[in-house]
Amino acid sequence: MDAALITVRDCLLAIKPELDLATLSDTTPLIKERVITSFEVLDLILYLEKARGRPITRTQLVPGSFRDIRTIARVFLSPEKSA
Amino acid sequence: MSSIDFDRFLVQLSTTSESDPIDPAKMIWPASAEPDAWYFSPELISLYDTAEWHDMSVAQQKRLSFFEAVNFFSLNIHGEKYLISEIGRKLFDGKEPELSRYLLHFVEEEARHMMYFSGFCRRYANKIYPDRTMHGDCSGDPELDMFMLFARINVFEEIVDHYNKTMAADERLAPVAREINRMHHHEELRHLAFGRHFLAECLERHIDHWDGERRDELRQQLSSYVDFVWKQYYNPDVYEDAGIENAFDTWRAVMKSDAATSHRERVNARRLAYLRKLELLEAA
Repeated sequence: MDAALITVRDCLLAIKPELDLATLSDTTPLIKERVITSFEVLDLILYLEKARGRPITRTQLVPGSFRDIRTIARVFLSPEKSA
Repeated sequence: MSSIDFDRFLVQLSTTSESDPIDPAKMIWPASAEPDAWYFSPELISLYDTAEWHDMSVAQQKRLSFFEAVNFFSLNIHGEKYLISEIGRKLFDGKEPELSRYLLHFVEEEARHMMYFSGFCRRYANKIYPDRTMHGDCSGDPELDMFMLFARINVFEEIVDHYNKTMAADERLAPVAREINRMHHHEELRHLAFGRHFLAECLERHIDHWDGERRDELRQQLSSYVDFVWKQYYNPDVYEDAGIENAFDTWRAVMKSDAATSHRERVNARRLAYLRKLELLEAA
């Protein structure tokens, strides 16, 4: 599995230890399916910032950026975004 | 409260806002922030009474108090930005003129508050901590969304006001920090009174006939929002700036600490009891 996808899964587990990650595909809609709430995204952002080593920009903070694991990895952890 | 009474109440609020404005331009700013001063009441600092707190010298605790103040003012700035944009969209929709008249004052006062909050952050810290909040989409249920907007504003302001009121009266604090808290508390009293009456009015007009499922949804959303507001009081950037080693791990641990949990429960019990009484929050 792609390292960025693993990192996103680790971050999700950190904010919500009760999650059964095996039940989530990389395209499961996280907020729509209520896997996480938009309020829990605040913690997720801090874990993602720690993982990528720099702050997330305000323009990235739109609900679509947190649609699913694959989107989060692409928006926040792809090399050109996290460099 | 009947709608006629509510209109009269709105007129009173507007009249007071018009006759009793606070002018942030008249604020007297010290040339620099005195390092050997408290800027946040120790008992309100997010790490208070934790193992990390007890390991710090008083000088380190005071340094932390400065950055906690910057975080508190920053989260107020971001909360007020959100509030202004959301309320702005509801102004003059042609339905309730006295409501729009008062909300215009409400928005104007929030913009003024941002001037003194940002004035402190810019002058003494040269930064405003970034906004990491995301408020999400509307539910698609206009009644629920309208009610939730004002319920969120009220929760946010009740918790903030607990801090403002405590710090406005705390003689240990640097005068500039006390004054900002005093000014905010003074004007927020009207906003809080409005919020409580408005929510009661909305309940009577719109929500009382809702079925159990919709009310449960509302209760669940608002209870989550209370947790969300509190999360903003714990910021790893603050711990980093205050020189705390392992700032991120400190952040991860502190919110679950006994000291922080009891603090939040005490404030919630004091400031949000009326929402629980209205059955708008889940049981503690």
